[in-house]
Amino acid sequence: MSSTEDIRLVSQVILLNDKKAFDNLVRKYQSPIRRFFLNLTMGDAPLSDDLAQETFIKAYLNINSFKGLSGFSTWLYRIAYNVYYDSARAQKHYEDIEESVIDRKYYAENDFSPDKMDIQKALKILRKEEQTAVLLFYMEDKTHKEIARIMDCPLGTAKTYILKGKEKLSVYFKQAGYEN
Amino acid sequence: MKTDKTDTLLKSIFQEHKTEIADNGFSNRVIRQLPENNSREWIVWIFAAMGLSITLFLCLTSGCLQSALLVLHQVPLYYFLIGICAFPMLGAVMYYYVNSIRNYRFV
Repeated sequence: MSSTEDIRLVSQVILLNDKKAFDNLVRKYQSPIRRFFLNLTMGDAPLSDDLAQETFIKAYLNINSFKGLSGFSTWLYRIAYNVYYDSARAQKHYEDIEESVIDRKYYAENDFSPDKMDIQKALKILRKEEQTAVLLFYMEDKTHKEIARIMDCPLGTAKTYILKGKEKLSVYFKQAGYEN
Repeated sequence: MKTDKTDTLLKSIFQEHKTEIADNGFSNRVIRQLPENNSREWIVWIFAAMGLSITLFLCLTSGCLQSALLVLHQVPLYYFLIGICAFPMLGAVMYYYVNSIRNYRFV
């Protein structure tokens, strides 16, 4: 589906309250949004699904505010970003949950190999904003401009988050034995 | 590590770990959770009725409807029958044509 198709579906939702059209949007974007949350929550699948569900419901309720200035995907990530930070602020789960608990939870609930833990461990050394920016840039293929829109910060700040994240990850992966 | 090399390395690591998450009923759960809003289809009908009313008003006041009826009065009956048959056929052809383009674009 192209972005034109996204706009057609959004128009159907706005004008006709067409839930089938919204269902198509959910099916298209459920995987990237859930993956984004899964990485931010260090692999907590139930929490990721709850946050993703909240994101889509908020998107549905506020779909009238989508002006089409950015792509629907960018707009959706912006909501996801807000949902995640609201949740983090409310629960402070990233400060309260011990690392060992996260690791246990991660191994128990996800079918990932130990190799994949490297990403989670690497992300833990970053600040929350750096994690978000790095994930959006390297995993979700968003541009600097889109990341700035999603995180609602100036372009330079978004670039700084990515640059700092990159520097830290570079050192981490070098020590972990990853090289070109 | 140089910057461009780091970028390439990080890109490859993150892309390697990029997994597609199966839906497994997630979309259905979201759709079930959506609040029931009143249908807004009436907006379309209101605008359609307004458009029709304005057109009728203009036709009647300008006298073009009467002129058209006078012209039609002189047209033989079989012209009407051909018109009645031709419109659905033209409509069907247009419908299949538009559908074939749409299927081609979104396959």
